[in-house]
Amino acid sequence: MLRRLPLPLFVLMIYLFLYAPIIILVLFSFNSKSFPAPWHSFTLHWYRELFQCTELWQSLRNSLLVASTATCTSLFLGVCLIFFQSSGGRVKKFIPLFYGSLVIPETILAVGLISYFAILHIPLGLVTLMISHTVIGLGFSIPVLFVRYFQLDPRLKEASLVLGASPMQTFFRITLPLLRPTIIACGLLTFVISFDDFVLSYFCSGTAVQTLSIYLVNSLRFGISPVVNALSVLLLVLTTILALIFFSPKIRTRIF
Amino acid sequence: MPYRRFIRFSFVCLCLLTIFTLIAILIQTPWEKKYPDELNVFTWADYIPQEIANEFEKQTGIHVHFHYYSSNEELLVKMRSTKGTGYDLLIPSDYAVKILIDEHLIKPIDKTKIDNFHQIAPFLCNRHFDPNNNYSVPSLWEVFGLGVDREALASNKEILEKPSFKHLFQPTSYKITMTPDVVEAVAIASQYLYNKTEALSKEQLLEVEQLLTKQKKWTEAYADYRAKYLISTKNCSIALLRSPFFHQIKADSPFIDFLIPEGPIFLSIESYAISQDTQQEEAAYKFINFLMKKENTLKMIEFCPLYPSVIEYGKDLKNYPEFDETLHKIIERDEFECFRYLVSENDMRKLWINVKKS
Amino acid sequence: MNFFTKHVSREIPFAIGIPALVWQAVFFYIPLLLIIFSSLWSLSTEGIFQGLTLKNFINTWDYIYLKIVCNSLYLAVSTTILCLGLAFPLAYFIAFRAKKQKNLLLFFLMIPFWTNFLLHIYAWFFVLEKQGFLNTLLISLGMIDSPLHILNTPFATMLMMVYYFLPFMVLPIYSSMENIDRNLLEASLDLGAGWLQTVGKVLFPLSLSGIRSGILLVYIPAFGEFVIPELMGGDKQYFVGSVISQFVLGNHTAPLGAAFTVMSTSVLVLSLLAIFVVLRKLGEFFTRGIA
Repeated sequence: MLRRLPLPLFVLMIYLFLYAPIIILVLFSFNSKSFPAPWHSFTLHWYRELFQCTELWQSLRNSLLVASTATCTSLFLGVCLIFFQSSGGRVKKFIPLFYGSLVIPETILAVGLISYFAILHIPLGLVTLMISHTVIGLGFSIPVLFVRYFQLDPRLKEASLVLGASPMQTFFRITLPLLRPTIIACGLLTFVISFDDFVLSYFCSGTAVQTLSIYLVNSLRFGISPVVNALSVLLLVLTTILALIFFSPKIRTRIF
Repeated sequence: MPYRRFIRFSFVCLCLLTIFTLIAILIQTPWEKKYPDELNVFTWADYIPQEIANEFEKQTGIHVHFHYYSSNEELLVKMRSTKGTGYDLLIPSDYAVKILIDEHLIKPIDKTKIDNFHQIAPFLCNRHFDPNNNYSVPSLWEVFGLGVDREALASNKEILEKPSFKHLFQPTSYKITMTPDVVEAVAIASQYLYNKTEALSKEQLLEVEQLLTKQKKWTEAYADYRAKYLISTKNCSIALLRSPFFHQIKADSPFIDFLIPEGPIFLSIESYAISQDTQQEEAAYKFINFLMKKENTLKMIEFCPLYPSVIEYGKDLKNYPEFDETLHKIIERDEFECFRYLVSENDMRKLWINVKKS
Repeated sequence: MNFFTKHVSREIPFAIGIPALVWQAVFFYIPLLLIIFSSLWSLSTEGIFQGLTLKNFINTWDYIYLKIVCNSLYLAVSTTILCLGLAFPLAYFIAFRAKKQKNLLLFFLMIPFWTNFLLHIYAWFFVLEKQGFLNTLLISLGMIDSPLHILNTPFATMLMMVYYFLPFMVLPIYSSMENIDRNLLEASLDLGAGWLQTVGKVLFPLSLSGIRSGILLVYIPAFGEFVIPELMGGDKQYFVGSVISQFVLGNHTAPLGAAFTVMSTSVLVLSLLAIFVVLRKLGEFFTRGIA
């Protein structure tokens, strides 16, 4: 019994380590005095101020827009490539090309992209952000999708073709549903990475467009306002709800 | 089977979204509202409160669109890469103005069109970066001084009575906060070592570099905005502070004093400048005059307590009681110095990387 | 293009698969080639193209830049090792020991992962400041006399790096452990191998692919990281990312910056290959004597 204690204790400490700052962040978003003053009194003042801060909501909107577009585009391109592979094209040799996005640090990719955009005279803005985030998304989605695709039992596809389905029908009724968990997982991963991303946004966003990460870095550099606390609580609640949706057994059996 | 339709549906959605993205790439940002008359202002983030822009739009019908930068380097990069198109009015700092003039990115200003130009304090005009003020109009200004934690340094009488930059550079038992900007750091080090802020020779540059490297040992952090934070939370005892930051934290942290070191005071002037390629020159002049009116300057100072270029405006401030007193103490000294590039940009950059490499 | 079209059905034009490859080529490989190519340029002081030269590479072979690359290497390696050390037991626990709480634990692991990391930095400021939560707690409990100096030190940087990269390491290792048959571990214990031997000879080699993915996901971004050291470490040290952004902000510095980028990326790739070789050798060492 004693021998089995250290490991759970260790795991508990790691989770405490992960959550301690978050809990404190949440608690102090209700503090009436701005950080670093200790606990003073309960107030919702910062939440009210949060809803009046238009710049923050604009940057949040930008972040969400870029993240969702990048996710959808990279997933779409990935699914197209899978379709191509399943219809008989041979792209397996070309998949390692996509590993490049993972190997190159984002800073270097960003620097390359801005000079590239400057040469092509594409003004930096929301669109260039979407393009750069899609590149990152491709680097994550395509290798994962293809690994899963090659792990699929080929007999299922053969059976479907033998029983009379055309290759396109096979793709939509057999292959894609089997890949659905992976597609959703890739989509979530890409969305999170794009939403969280700072380096690419810093270099590729130009002047008029500010994503949430840039806004937060600026407010961190300027000083700390509990409005950021309030925002983080809101985001935490949002992600918890989303995670509950995706992890709850009921909905999981419907989607997966 | 129900999920077949779901698959088809999501596939169609993805197709549509990708097509939409491709169209957006071709059209390029159709979702920004187009105003009939728009002025693009490139400024610091905490400089002009939004209500002033709204008031301006109500009075003149010209919509003001703000673009922000967080450092002079960022301003210069963006101006160089876009050649100034997309911006009408800029608010650069002193040494940035010189570079913009040299690279023909801003156009000369017609001083007769600025109403209060004659009221601007004389020591703010005709400085090295724009003699005769042909290209820039001083807007707000700030000085660099030592933010000192009176309680932590109570035993150290010398600092409180004879403040000087040497307290940043000599081995000490307390921690300091230094500026992250290489131009400012080199100028201050040069002032301390050689009492001059003109071009440095190679040997002098090396000495400056060694001094800054040695200084790292007792530096808590390199920060300008965060410095006010670090000193008010007692993470350091002396901070190289800009005056507006001091005024912002004074109310909540009364134990902090703003001491101006002996020797010439380092001044940083934000100026209005008009971009070379602007189509909205008249609107830019209107906005400059609007901002330079007393009530709007006061609003800007309440937002971020820099000092006004028309000194008389700085009298009736509610939030910052010590503002007036500090301002007059500074003006009495009457010995000012602006920041400039003491060596080439590349040498500066190499120096800073050298200082921070370990 | 023949070997593409040989087997493709007539229903859908084969071009549908190409956009992904085209996108990757256009927006990834061409910019990279651009960087490599521009590192060979020579610009006069006014920025006029003067010809091709290797001068930029020679300039980057300088103690300053090499030291910066070493800083990043050190950061990346220590982050990876610490993350590996923490993630391996954690993944083992979730995969094998936690039966009923598995989903809950995974759920709780994902939540911080999904929140913007700058908010985490902000949260850690709260905790680590001299008058922050941790110090106030320890002083009020009487455990220390004067506040601990944590923020703006390398320790704080490392703390935040591990905090941020831990989920990236845990998830691949966990998913590869999920595929391991429980019976193998039990069999090994039944056959007389000690607990440590089981971990080394059975668990570790079988989860090697997960460890490899985890290292890939942690080492590379950690090498290019510069925001965390700037905010948590007080901006006292420069890393590869900070130097590159300095070059980006400079005037006519593109060729030198590009040369530095090429040099640091090659160091990154070589070190990564070295790590993978070491990993494989370790795997072979632990499974020596096993067919």
